[in-house]
Amino acid sequence: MKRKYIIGVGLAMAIIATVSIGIIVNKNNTDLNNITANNDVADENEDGFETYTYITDEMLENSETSTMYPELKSEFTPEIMFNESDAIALVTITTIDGASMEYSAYGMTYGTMVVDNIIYGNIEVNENGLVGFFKPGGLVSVADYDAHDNQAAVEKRDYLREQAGIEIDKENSYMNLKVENDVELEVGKTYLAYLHFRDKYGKYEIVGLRNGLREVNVAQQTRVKTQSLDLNNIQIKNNVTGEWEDLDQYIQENIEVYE
Amino acid sequence: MKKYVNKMILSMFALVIGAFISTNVFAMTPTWPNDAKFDRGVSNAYYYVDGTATSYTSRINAAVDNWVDTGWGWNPIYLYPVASNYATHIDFYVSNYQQDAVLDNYTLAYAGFWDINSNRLSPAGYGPSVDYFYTEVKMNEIFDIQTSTIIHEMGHCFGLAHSTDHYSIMYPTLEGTYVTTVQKADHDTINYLYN
Repeated sequence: MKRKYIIGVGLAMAIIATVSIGIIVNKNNTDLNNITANNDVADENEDGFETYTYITDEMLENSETSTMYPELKSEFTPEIMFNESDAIALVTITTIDGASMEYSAYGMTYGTMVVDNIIYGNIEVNENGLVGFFKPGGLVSVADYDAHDNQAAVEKRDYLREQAGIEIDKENSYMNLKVENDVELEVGKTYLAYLHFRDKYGKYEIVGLRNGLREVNVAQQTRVKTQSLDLNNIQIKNNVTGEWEDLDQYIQENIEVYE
Repeated sequence: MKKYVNKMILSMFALVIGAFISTNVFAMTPTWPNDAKFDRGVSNAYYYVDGTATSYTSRINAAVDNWVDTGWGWNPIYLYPVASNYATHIDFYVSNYQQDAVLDNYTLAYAGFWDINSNRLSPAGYGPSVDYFYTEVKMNEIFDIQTSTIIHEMGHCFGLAHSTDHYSIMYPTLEGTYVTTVQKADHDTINYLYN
């Protein structure tokens, strides 16, 4: 009798614990799912900056993904990335505001981020505490793509669509441009980023494709607040191997050696 | 027992030698997923040189000549220049890259892939995975583009992906490419794709 009682209590506690964990995990996932597109600009209050992305499910449904395969003059080694960067920092992405072909032959996604730790160089922070960024590629409208493309190329596409009897709304049809060996950016996530300041636009270009943007092993934020991270206890993701590496070791081997 | 062991060792040795030989004799340059390539073949193909790229006409023609006659034997490529791009396989342009953008400053050229309905092809990171109607080569106006770069981009157009072999014209960076013309592996891969 006593044994059955103990087993019963133990079972009940296990069930309660499982249900509790499920509720907590589900709540966290629900919070992350609330990072969806809206028309509000990032707005800071005491709880941090609200995250935002301009990309909606409808835009993704009306898009074609396209990868560009550049021949580069050289690989983005740590030394080259260091030499091309005005700053190297841990940053958290706050907003992804848009993308356009105006800023690069690849198109550039633009948005804002907060700077958590500066590892090298200096960063100009805006009055509102945010820094503007550019990242190659992005979801651009066909209209924007055509406006910056060679005229003969645009005319050919229009001709082929006409021959096929296809009409498209260029303003609301999209191309999801990606560069070979680049990685995705997500709002609320923290990254080690190599940054080159583009004076003309007052924003920092993230340099080096997958070598210059490495996810940090801290929780994704739903409202972004500046974090002061302990560099000795941080890991960054190697986008080639998928392995996590110690940041302090990376800094010693790939940044401090070039200072 | 000893006879059996000896036979095993001999068989394994033969296997290793065979693998080594076959790897070197029939080396291939990587291709796009599903061996994606021109849906119209390459035996009667056309190319267009845009007004923006006329200064590169002689180098483009030299690159075409290298693909038509690689020096490694016969392949099915026959390419002709035409004045209009409406029915072409490969269109050459010089594009406006941004001088203050780092990636633009490191890019010599890139290739794009399109289907007959003007849909741009290639799922992220894997290259075109279905056959395509035409391609574009967009050269960077910042640089003096060499014939070897044009050959490289044309390789993408024909269906060759980047290679990790420094002695392939399809190595992804100019600095890391130790050759300037189509190599046997590249030539063999064209025959594999289009025959």
